[in-house]
Amino acid sequence: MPEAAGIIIDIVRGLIERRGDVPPEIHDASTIGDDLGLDSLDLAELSAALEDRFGRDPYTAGIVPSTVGELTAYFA
Amino acid sequence: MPIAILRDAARAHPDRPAVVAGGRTVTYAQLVARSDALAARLRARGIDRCAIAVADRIDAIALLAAASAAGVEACVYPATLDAADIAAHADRFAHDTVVVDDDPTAARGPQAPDPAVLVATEGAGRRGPAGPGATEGAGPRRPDTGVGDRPILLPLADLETGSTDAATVGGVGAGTADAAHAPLLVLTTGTTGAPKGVRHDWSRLAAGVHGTPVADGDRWLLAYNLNQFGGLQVLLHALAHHGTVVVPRSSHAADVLDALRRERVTHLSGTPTFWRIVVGGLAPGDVDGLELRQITLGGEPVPDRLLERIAGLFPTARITHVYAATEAGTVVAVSDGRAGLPTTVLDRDEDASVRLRVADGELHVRTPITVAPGDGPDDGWLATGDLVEERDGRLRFVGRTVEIINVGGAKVHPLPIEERILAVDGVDAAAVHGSPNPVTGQIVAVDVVTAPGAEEDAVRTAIQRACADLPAPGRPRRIRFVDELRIRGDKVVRNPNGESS
Repeated sequence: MPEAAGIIIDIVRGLIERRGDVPPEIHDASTIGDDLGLDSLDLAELSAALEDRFGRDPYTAGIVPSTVGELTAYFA
Repeated sequence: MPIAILRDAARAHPDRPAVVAGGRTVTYAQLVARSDALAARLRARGIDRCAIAVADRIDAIALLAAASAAGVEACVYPATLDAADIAAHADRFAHDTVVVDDDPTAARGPQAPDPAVLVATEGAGRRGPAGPGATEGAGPRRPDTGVGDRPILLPLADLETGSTDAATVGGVGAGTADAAHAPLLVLTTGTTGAPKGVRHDWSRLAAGVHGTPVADGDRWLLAYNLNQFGGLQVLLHALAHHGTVVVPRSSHAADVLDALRRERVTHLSGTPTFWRIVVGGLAPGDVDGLELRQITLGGEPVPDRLLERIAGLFPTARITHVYAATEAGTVVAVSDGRAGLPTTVLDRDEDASVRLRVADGELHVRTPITVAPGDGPDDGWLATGDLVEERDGRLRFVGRTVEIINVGGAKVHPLPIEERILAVDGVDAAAVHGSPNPVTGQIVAVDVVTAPGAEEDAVRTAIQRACADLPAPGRPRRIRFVDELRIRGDKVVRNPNGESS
């Protein structure tokens, strides 16, 4: 579902920009913690944003994706 | 107790309007006469406690005065209750009698008919006149509620035309309370859960009303409902000053402005939420010719920005914000133009009638209403649930204990965040609250009403920027744009999910 992937990447990019960093290139293998540097509050916000956008999110379902690919696959 | 105030005013000014509502005017002499007649009938029916659920505030005032004259404990229910809510309230507060409108199908006075009563009457009707316990024609009706046999719905018309002969209805023992100390049950707003009932006595409430009657009579707008502590305070103040109570058609800005202008209102008291709605709808020139002399805010913390806005609109009016609680009465009134309370309120002597202290960030108060007979100086303290921080010589309200947002273990107070957001251009109203979250338990969320013409994406970015220097857990993580905030009793409801959130 490439459209969902694009939306998710935009949300992630927004989180990184808001903390004052320049977002790296984001691809499926990017790790959410190490590569993108999202902390638990960022994940909390990501979870809320995904729920608002898609009506569901992996974190509420008890899944904690470690890569962007795993995250977007949840919505595929 | 209001009956004594009413009699006093009626002696001095029998023909002065006591209440103006929806084009109707009731003079002090008329109000006293009606209240006395109602009091006699309450006694004759043997009623010693009653709830009041009538839509018209002139009726409600007369019933309150009648109850106090008869020594009957009165309790005004919120105007928005439906039949099931009335039954639930009656059950919760053990009310056997609820006085309701006589003709629920007709609009009475300035307010729409109470839908609650409509439904209640239909419920009784569905059971049919031959059903068990049903009464035909005039007379008490029991709603088909399924919560026991409470309450008896007593139409006001039946009460007004009923007998005053106690023997005919077997009434005994009504009005056993000393009329001067007639109790009053006041329900809390319940913005943070189910309402609680707090028993007051009129004489203690009235003891906090200072001032002397003025020659030409002040005119007080009753912007609160009479089930609210603020509404009772306005009523007591207006009557004690032999003034006139003006009831607006609704609390919408246009109706409030219309009442202010038409009745030349001098005193206006409301919650900050009420004031925000009123001043938010003002266009330049709208306030020209208004005669407001005293502006009062209470019931919620007052932000600096709102005080400044009101002062700018009404430069000659005295502006007071009152810290009060249903359980404690009026605690402090501040008129120095700044938000929060001066920290000097904490320095009062042990024998002061009202004292304040802070414990674990929570404000505790001790007032004549919280103190029981025999209490020592360390007894009778009430934990208010209001959290404060000391800043610049002021106690600033930062939230309620039940409103604390727990973000991954960090305790976050909503109000300082809300004040920042309210200062953002394009934001008309905002309510910060905790939103459940699978990662951190809760996150800070905010519901925002934008100003006309404001662009949501730009407002979102501006809010994020305004909160960027807050500690990370305190930054709003979920910003939602809504048409209006949830408001109950003219106060913002911050935990929309109820007590559990």
